[in-house]
Amino acid sequence: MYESEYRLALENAGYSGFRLVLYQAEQAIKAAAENTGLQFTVDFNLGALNMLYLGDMMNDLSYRIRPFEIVPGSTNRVVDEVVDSFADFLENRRRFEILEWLPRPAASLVAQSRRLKGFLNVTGKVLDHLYSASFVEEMRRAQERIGALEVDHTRVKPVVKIVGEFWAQLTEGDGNFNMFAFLEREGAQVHIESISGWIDYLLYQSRKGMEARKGLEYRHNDARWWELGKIAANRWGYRRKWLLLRASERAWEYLYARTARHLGGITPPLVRQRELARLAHPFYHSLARGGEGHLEVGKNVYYTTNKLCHMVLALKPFGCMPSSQSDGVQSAVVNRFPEMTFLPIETSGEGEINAYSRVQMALGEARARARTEFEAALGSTGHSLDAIREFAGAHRRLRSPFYPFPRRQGVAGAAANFVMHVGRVMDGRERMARLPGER
Amino acid sequence: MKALETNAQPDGDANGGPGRMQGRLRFLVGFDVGSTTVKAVAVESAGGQIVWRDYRRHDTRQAEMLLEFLGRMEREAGVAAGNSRVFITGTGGSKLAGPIGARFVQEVNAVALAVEKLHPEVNSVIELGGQDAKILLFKRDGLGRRKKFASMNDKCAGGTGAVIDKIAAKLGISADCLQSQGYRGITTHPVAGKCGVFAETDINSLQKLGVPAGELMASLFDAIVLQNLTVLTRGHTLSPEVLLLGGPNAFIPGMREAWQHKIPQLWQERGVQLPDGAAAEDLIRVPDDALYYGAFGAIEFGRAEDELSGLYTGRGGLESLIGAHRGQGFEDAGGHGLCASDEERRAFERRYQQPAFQPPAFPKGERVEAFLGIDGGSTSTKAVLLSTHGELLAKAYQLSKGNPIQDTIEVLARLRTQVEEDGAHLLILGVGTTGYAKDVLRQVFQADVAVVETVAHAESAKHFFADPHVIVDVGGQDIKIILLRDGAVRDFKLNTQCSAGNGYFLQSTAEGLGIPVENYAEAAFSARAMPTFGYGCAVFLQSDIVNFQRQGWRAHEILAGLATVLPRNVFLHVAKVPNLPALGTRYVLQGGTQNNLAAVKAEVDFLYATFRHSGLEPEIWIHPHCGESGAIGAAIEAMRTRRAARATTFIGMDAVAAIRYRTQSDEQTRCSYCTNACLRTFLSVEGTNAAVPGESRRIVLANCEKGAAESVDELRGIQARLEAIKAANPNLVAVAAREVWRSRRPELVADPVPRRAWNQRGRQKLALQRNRGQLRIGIPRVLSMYAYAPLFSAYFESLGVAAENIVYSSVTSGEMYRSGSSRGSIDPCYPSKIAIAHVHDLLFKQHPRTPLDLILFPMFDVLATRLENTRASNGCPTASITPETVEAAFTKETDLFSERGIRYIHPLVNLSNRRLLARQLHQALESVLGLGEHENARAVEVGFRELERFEADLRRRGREVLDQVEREGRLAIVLLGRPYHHDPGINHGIMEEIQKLGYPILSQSTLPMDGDLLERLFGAELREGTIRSALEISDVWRTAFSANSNQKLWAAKFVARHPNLVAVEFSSFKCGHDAPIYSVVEQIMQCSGTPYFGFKDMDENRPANSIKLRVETMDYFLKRYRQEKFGAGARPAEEEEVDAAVC
Repeated sequence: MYESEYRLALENAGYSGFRLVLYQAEQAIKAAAENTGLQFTVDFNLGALNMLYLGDMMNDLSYRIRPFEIVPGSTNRVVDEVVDSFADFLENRRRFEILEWLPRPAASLVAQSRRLKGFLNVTGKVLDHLYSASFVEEMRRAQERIGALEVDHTRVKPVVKIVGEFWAQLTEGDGNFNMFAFLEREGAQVHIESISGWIDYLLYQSRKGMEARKGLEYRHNDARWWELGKIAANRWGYRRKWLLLRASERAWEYLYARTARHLGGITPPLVRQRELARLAHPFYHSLARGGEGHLEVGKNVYYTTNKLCHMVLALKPFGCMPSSQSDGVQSAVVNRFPEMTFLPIETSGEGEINAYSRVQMALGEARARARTEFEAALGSTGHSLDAIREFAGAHRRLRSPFYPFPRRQGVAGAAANFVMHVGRVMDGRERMARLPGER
Repeated sequence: MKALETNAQPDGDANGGPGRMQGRLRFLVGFDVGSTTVKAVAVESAGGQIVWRDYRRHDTRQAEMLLEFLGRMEREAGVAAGNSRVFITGTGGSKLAGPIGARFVQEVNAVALAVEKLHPEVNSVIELGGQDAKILLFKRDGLGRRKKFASMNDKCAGGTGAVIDKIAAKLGISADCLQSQGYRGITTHPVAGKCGVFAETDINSLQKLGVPAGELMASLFDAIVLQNLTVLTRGHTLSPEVLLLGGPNAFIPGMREAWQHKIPQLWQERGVQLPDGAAAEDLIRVPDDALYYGAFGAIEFGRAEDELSGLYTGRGGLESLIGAHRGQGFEDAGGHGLCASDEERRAFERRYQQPAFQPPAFPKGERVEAFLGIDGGSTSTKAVLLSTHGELLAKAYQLSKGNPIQDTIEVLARLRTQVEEDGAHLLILGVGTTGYAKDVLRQVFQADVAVVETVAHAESAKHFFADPHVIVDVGGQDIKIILLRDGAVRDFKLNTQCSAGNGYFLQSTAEGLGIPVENYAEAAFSARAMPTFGYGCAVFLQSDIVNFQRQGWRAHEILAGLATVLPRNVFLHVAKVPNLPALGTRYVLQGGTQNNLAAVKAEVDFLYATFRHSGLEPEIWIHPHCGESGAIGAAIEAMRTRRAARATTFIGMDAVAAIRYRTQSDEQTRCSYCTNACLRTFLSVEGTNAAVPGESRRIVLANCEKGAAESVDELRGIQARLEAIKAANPNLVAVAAREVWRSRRPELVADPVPRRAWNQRGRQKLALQRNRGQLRIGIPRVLSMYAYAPLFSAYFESLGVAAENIVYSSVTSGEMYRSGSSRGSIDPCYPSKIAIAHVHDLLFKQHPRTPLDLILFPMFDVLATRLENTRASNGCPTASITPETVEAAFTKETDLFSERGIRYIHPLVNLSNRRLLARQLHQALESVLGLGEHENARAVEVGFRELERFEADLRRRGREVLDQVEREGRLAIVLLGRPYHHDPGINHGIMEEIQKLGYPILSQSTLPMDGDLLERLFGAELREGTIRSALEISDVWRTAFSANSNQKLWAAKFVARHPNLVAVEFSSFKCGHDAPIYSVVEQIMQCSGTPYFGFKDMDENRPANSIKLRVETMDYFLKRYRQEKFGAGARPAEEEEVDAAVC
């Protein structure tokens, strides 16, 4: 979408011959370019998809583990190592080639048909990328290395859910005032967004847009009632596209959840897009185009009403049109949901100090809420915090970042959920859970 | 301080009992380190009694002032390391807390804690600080909890004490006078409070009209209150009681009174219930010790913290911080100095330093014939004398004392003295004026010619240098980049909305740092290293200065760093020219700021760096008389006039000395010729005619031509002349803006109403069908409705809704915006912001007159387009989502629609797919109109038919205009904008101003699309295969997805190919769809050499002076362009009349 702008900016800056490689998301695997220096092959595209999943997952994991790490800096160190391993693995893994995989007689038969060879090769590459034992094994190794970290889940941390404009909500750097690091320094646990969630949204919106136009864009718009063939063709044409999109959504969500499962299982699955649209629609039309559409409103309501966080922070670059409008709508949303702590921040070259001030103030409210929630949780166990810490200290499992303590309805904080669970384990009312991969 | 003391609770109480360390922790100390002052309070931990407090300005030395406070506190109160806990709040607090062991407390938190503690009855707090403005609201949520909403300014210091300081300094109002400045009963005038720079621009104009300083300050208070109410409340209502905190509220009675005046108006409008018997004004108050709330809140915060939090470690850390700022490697953190070595500096000075002016001798008895040029600028007045050969004979300069006439009298006296002090005799052959005050000066002194500033500066540069390409004129407040080709102005860029980077800023900063502006360069050149600034808003640069000082950078280094900001602000921030070599290679630097060699060095370095990769080398010249370049240009123009054999009309130097004048600007001078009722200034001048002593002339200074009339007869004459001009030069922007709302009177296509219905659903439908004739529909007159209103009005009318029952909101006006916009919670572009005011108008103005049943505000998702081969024709997301934000604004506290029995309907619509549109409208309106599917589809078709008729009619008129200008060899102006730029409230009447100068006006929506014309303009390219259709833009813009941007680019292509058309581009501030195509439009125009002028970043502020300057320059340039294009004979007699009428 911004291709022309980039070209223009380069030209205006005096770099008229600068080479710009275009990778179009909507064309995905089909994307191609001449003499680009990069080969947009099936392997490249599938590698990019895996990279997205793994990137999202490692990012999310690090924000879920780091606030509780016992040895400062250990999470970043291990995550960096794991990311390097994944990069090596993706770069050096043996590419699937159908002719190498088939027995020689079958290979020579397949080699004669270009179409068959292409079809089998692409199918094989997809399966290999997604299901090959080597990939699963690489994830297992990563899980093992991360699982070796030690955490203290009794630390009370307000949970801050990040939403906002695509780039600002994902990018940690000057573009978002280094807000995630700031929040962690201020004692918060940050729940970040994923690129996968955005792609899921695009797929969902394509399908819903199609549904809104159902019956208007048939191949045979003029079909009369007796022209059953045309009617069937119309319906099949629509249904085929619809199914393709639906299958893509399902596959996308499944693969994300599968990656999460192999990497510790503590990162939640993608939120159902239908639910976000349903929650947002009374305030922000779910088919309205541009930017993140209804997502900011939908996520704000979803995470607040499901009590998955203590505060929602929306980040957006200065002047981002749809995101600013979303903030306009949020003023009514916040009034409708009194329990909501929502703060929008526009980032630009200036105003960093003020942004921090505002975040600190909202965080004060979230912190108080997390503290109250924790004290109630601790009180409900009948144990002192020292006793719970002592118990956790005596059990290595409870110090694992992947220890799967249950999340109680209406309790957002990790510490509150953890002490409730440990208290019940101490009382013998719940059993200690197994770690992933543990027999 | 009593208020704080009596309410304070001992430390032990707050924590439920005495702490373990309480025995030795004697004090709790709260600091508020703000942007301009430090406030401190120390209380006893046990009893809560105040033992020490103070408040002082820190003059940007926050750390030093904090150290000084701590020293005194230790000596006077016994505060010591280990016996006190310290909590710091304020913008400067975070970095200073660590070194003394203190804990930082976010300032809004601190203020909120103080207010909660001391004033549980308060629901709203407004705190104005030096560069901050905060609004705090305490609200009960549905669960009975008291929730806080806070809002702060984050990108702009508009609406804060900084603006007051800036304007007070400009008006010469001392701090003491400011403390007695009132508001009640004082006449106020429209002033922009959004930004100190805008405010200054408005104040300048009003000052020149003779408005007294007291009224100007009261107007500023008014503007600041409005700015904070509209932006910072984020649409919430300030519930009583309201507490006013911060320096400006505490010290300036007028500021308090302005809040007390404005907030009750809001309460009344929103039906806020006041406590029984309470007067509204009494519910808005400044508490005692309002200054100390931040510091006290910090202490309150500390009470809830554990006992070791904020434990004071003594002053040592702070002393080290101050002393050790400049450790090894410190300077590496910034950039190297302006000059790497003394040798480089000497070489630079040899090349660029201008020799001091050496006036010629004027022997006794010599008759010195000269042309006089006067530049009445925004911050100073300059005058020069030029010999008949164009040599500079004398020059004089004076910083403005507030009245340009008096300034000029004094400056001319000095000029005369220079020539005549040795007995020579000065004879003035001609006089030219320029600058903001050029017209007043021309009238008072009867000068021969008033020259628009841009032209004066260009003439001056050309006088000294051969064929310059770019003139960079940086004055006190204005920045002008004038682009020339073959000696003629081809374009110019002005700082219409921002004065970042001007000379006034450098001057005031230097003086603030204790360095006179004359010594700026000397100080800056002495720096071996300097801090690296960003660029942009001057107010935030001010914050950077404070930060850099805190880090240890010294004054001369800061000045060096600021000098390097100047070229970036001039070229990148204001002029937005990323590719300077494209403008040309010969640069002239002029304007008063260029007398500062540090600024020149920074500009020279910047230019060379920019050219480095271009393969070109810039030639940079410094004007020999930087500060007087405008005055020299005016004198040159006077010389040109003289050569046209006209005798001077100047009143003469003797008369100047004898001049007496009196200004009157009050209710008696208020104009009554239109509803704007502007305040005029009547100037009575005596002594201008030596022949008739005592004769008095009256000069009327007004905002428009009509205002200049003193009698109804005179007014009629002026109006008749204007009407004649308008008739000869149609303004299709105005026509489109008027006609688009007209009833279409289409055919009726509604289903026949059945006599009876057989079931409940049918009966409901029948009732709705029967009601259609009475149904009243309100539609906001905004955004895409300026293009598609005919479609909707025809749609409704064809279904049986009476034309008179389709009610549009009032036409956009400043008054409407001010009264209706305060419910908005965000700050998008003005065309979107104004939508809230329009719906407010429908609810609170139109509905009470005759009740409305529904308000329709469609969300335009996809727009209709005639262009071909584009990727999409999407609407702008800001515009399309606006109906949702409007709904939020009117339903968040109470549902103002349902309270009035009005349905608010805002369907998402797609105008590029008629069947989808029909479905969308049917879904939205079925339950309102009892709508059948088929009649709905027919009505949509009727709507499109009427829309096409409307558009075709405009294009037909456009063709007529085009044919006319082609026949007459004249020029027409095409507005390149978006449909809502037709709105006179958004385009600020600029096109009308241009029309009055004798140019027909078209817009992107009114350009004809006749086949023969398209063939003439695009045929060659079609045949070459560059484009596949005349209606395509893929050759200039591949990312063609935004409908209005696409249309603008196509219109630009059209204009660039037509010899009789020139373009004026409009763009609103924050327009994300326009920004990427600015340079595309510019390139299209440059390729064909078509004149192109831009009004970018337009918003609610109407920069009248800047508009005037641009329009006058445009006119000057276009006249020459036309003569060049169509020959000398192209100027018909009636156009001369137009000039006469306008001048």
